[in-house]
Amino acid sequence: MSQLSNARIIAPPIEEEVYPYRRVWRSIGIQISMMLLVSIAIVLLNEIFAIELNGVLTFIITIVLVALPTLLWLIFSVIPERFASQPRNHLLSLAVITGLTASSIGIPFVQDFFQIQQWIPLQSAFERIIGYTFTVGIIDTGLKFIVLRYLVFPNSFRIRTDAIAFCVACAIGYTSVINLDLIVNIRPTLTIATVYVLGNYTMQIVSSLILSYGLSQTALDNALPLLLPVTIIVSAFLIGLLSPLESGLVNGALTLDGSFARPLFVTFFFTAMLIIVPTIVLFLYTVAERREEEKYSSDQ
Amino acid sequence: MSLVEINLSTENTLTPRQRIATYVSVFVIFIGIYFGYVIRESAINQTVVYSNVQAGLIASYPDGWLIDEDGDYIFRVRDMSNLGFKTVIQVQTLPVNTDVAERNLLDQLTLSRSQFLIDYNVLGYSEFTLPNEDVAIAMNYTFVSRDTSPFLEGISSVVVGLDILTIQRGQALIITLRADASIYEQALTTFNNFLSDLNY
Repeated sequence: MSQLSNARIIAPPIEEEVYPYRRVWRSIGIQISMMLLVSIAIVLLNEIFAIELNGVLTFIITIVLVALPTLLWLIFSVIPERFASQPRNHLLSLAVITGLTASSIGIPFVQDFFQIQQWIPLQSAFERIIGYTFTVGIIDTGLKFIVLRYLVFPNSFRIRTDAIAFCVACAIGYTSVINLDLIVNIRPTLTIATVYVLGNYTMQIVSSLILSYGLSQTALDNALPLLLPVTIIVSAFLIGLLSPLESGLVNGALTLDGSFARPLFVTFFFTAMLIIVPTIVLFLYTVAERREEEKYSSDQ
Repeated sequence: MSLVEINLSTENTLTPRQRIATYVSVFVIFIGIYFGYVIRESAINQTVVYSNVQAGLIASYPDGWLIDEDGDYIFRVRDMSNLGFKTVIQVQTLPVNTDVAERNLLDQLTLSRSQFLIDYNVLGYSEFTLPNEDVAIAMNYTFVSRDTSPFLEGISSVVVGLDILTIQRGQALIITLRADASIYEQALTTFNNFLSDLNY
């Protein structure tokens, strides 16, 4: 009678292919989720418990809130990048230069040259969207594009998600400066500050993701020359669309009982935007990747 | 001696399509900014036509300003979006004798205004040429504006005023601009646009 050997049968180790780059979508997903969690928690706590904080404490929490997108980005994007076998360069420099550009060109251009507060809020809803698109939207997107073009495009683009990593770095730099400017100049309540910080973060992230698609396709897929300008316009339009909605949704409709701020409503609106737009961009990237794979396999 | 080549790899390696895409993008950005500027100009300079057959007057005032005809004037328009003192443009007429001088009318206005405007102070008089080449007299003045209700605890503002006075067909036409001193220069541009469209 034969006996089975008691020696353990060990499957030969599978040679795993090591992905040499940091996984960008996962980092962005974590950052967006944490940003949303903190924002919703602050708004909910204020709505339910109506916590009254003194001015200094509110200011300190607001400053932390302003720094939160940058901190999350540093923790979940910049530091992991150092542990990747093929790290992306220029992330920090992109964020810093975009922030400085926003501070020195973007904000003065919008506030002092266009003086948007004097005329856009008085326009109809459609005119406000168009007005914000061709002032705030085009300036924000244009400056980010120029920084990207002269720092990383196209030489530093190796894979498609590089474009996302670079564009998100620009978005973080830009949003940090405009949030800081807003908080220092307006000194809003904690709830309103949360809504504005989340609003600016949403606008910059979603518009940058759209811009990243145009840049990646132009850099790596040799796309039609019109694709990049179209993504710039769409990106500017998204900022133009969200800017009036932000103020319109924060301030409730005027009724016989008065007008009340609706921070919870606008927070959920931004949550939806931060889910829908990245999903659309992810779909576009997946289609582009698949098309390239099919092209590669047909060439083989 | 060996030659060390330093290659910084800053060479721009754009394909023709990428180069065209970049140029078109920059062009689109500049066109977009220009379009934004055009929208801004048209929004700021948008006007509403006012006509008063009885007074024989047609004017264009900035869109969004509040108009009223309830006082001792033909009409006045106010920019209610201003914080503090609301910029006002006012047109009024006064019946005059044929031998009265324009300067006398301005002195009369000064005397009456001193009664109810705080720290009313005339800065000076000058000749002013209206857009239709009529020569009028202009009077600059300042006063202090305070909130009507003392319970509002507002801070008083210094107001700069400009009266343009011209005598036409036996009546004096007084066109007035009053604005907070901090935004007076900006309001003056609006006022000059208003004057250029005024028909009386």
